[in-house]
Amino acid sequence: MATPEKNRSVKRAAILLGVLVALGGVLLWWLLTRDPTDPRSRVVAKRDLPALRLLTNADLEMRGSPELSNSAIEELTNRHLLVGVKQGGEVTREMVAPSESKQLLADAIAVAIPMSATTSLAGQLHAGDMVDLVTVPKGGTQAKTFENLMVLSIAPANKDANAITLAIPRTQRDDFALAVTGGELVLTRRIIVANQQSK
Amino acid sequence: MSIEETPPSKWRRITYLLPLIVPGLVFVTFFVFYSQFLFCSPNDPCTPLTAAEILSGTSNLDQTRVATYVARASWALISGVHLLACLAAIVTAGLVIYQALPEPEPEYPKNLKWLLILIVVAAAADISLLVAIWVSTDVSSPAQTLLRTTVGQMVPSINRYNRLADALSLTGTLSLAVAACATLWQRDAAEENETELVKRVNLLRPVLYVSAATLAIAVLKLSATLGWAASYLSPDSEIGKSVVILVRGIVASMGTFYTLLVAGVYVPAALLLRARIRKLAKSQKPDDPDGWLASHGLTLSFPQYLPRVIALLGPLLAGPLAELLSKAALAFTG
Repeated sequence: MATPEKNRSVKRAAILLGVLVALGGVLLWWLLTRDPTDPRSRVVAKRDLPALRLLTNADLEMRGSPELSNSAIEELTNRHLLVGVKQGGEVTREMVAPSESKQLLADAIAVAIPMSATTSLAGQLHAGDMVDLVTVPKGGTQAKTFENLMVLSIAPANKDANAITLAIPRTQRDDFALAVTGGELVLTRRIIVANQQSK
Repeated sequence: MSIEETPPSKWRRITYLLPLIVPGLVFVTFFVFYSQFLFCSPNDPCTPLTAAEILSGTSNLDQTRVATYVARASWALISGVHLLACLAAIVTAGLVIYQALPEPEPEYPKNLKWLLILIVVAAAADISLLVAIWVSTDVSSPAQTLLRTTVGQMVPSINRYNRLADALSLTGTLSLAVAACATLWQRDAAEENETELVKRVNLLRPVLYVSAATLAIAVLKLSATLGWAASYLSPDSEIGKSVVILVRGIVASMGTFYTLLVAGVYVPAALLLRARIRKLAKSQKPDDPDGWLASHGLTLSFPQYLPRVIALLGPLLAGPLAELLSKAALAFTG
């Protein structure tokens, strides 16, 4: 015969189980709806966005957390997209160029040059870097320099070679094509020293 | 000379909880060090490869697209296996607890033990979900950045799947840790006999093998997930090579962490049961306890140790094994 005290212990255990299951339900709901990586709380592309596009409000939408949408989208608009993003793909701060480069990219076109030891700065080149490109025609002594170019990407052009994509002003397109064809290419990045930075 | 028997201390029952306390300490230590030295946030970015760098290195070559499809298929397959392994771990833990605990007194209902098992699993699930919620704030780590900029662009809910899978994995491990505690539990130390002890030793074995297998599969799943992300980048590109190094490092460190968790669950329980067996042998045959152990098949030889050592190292070996298998598959298929 079960004593009332023992019955009470079983009852308490059953209540504890009920509480734990309910708590589990709440935690699961929290994990599924409030996860910061939740796809419904991120800025995504409304359509396929090519690299170098100047982002507008019409290009982006917020999934979830509508109270954050204005500030999150404003942070990204009016800036150039550094990489191509497909419809529904996430757009983050790291994927857009700094607002200061808006002028530079306003009338820019993307060009690719082959990657080599002299164009990759021995592997120290990164997307978003500002560089100068020096071209020297074969056998020539006169170098031509293209200044303030932005590195858009470093990606494989095919199975055996990588390519560096640069943004150059549209007005320099033809000069650039002539200079790089058959010429030797050297990429340089300006080294910013501490006292220059503070000026 | 007679040895005066001292009554067992009430505190000895704390030792029954060692299979839960030791992995708990491993877990806390890992997270303290991770938070202090490895935690990245949007305001304190510490990932070696930024989202723009990874995304700019994604390749659209035919070979890469095929590799991405194969990696996605591998992830789907291993995720299914992982789900089954976690469920098997929870069921095994329930059965071990049921077998290890003494029958309730006649006044209690017979299903009291099942009620207790359900409480254990529910508490383990709650703790795992709490950990998953806490971990989900870590959105800027190198692994998260890699996943969000590659797989996340096509499958936005990938992180949610991973958090749920990790929570299930931890629920299984915690339930098995409680099962290891149950194999040590005794109402009265004086009641223990040879049959009871052998039963407890045998019950600890599935705890070791199932927890090691579950965590080894968790490492394989992690490797498949990050491998899927890495497949978006050409392995010949500079960024592709860097990502492979990053993935290898993450998989190796998680493998080590999981190995320590398995060891934390199994080793304290195994040592305590071993001590009890020796004590019983001494009481049964004080002049030749080793002979008594050998006659009852309770000695452990090297061939008996070896599978246990391999099981303990399983999660650590799973990462390199997965890499070796994928290389072998590539060599066979050309």
